[in-house]
Amino acid sequence: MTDTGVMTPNLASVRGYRAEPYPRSSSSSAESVIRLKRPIPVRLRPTSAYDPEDISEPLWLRPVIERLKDIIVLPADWDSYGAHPARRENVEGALHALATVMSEESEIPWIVPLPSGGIQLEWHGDDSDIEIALDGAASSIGIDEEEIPHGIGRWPEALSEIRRRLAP
Amino acid sequence: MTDSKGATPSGGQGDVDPDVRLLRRVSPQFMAPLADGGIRVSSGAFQNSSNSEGMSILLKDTLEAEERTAASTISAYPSFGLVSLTARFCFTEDQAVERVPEDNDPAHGEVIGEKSQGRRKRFAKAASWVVQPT
Repeated sequence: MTDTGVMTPNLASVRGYRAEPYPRSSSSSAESVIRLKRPIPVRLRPTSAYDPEDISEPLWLRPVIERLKDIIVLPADWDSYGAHPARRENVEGALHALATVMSEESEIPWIVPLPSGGIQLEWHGDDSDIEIALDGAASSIGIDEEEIPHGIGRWPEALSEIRRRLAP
Repeated sequence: MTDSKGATPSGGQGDVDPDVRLLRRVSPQFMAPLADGGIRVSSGAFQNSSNSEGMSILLKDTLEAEERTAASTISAYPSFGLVSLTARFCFTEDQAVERVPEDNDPAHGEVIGEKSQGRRKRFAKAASWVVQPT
């Protein structure tokens, strides 16, 4: 717990918020659970006498997990043009990106699968147009008209810019 | 310079007139409702096919020559929509448009060229609904 009262447990340790396992032919269910290295912030109200109501997840977490559950079970060719199912690394990447850019009450992103097996996070507003495409080596961030490919130094800066824009 | 099919490698017109409309099916996964009642199409709908340099489309001039309606092309895809782009727009985005007829669909074609995230966003903004799911 930080001195601001925010705990940062691993997502997998938050009861009820484990992502469903991918349909895989040969792996144990324990191996199929998505585990995050980057923590999802869970707020713990600073008080000397805790009860269960003092712990709450970010408002965006539940709908994001539910949407990702829908996406990871899409079959091959879900777009009728030969799309691949979502790749595990990209689902994990989406959760990592969200853990970085989202504050507790940030607007929930529109999450779409990509035909390549990627995951795209989108926020569109009157004066802001943001997309984060998690797609392996082809990952990229789009902020308005600017495009930032993954693997360049500007990437962390772009995530910080998105976090600032998404803050309520 | 053109290839054996008459299309230029990048951004060229080939035998496709700039005014020809290109139709693309849109999965419901790419749709989000808007406050005004409309439906937004994600830029993800305009990614090239896997292991391909192109994105499949149907050429409306060929459909019309066969007396097929646009709506008929998605009748087998419940909940899907159909959007339209002009070949001219694709040319301005440094894409080539090729007629690639298939056994079961003579109107099939491809929009060929690299589609970066920024370009896909412009595709999504330029697309207009032909058949919007209800």
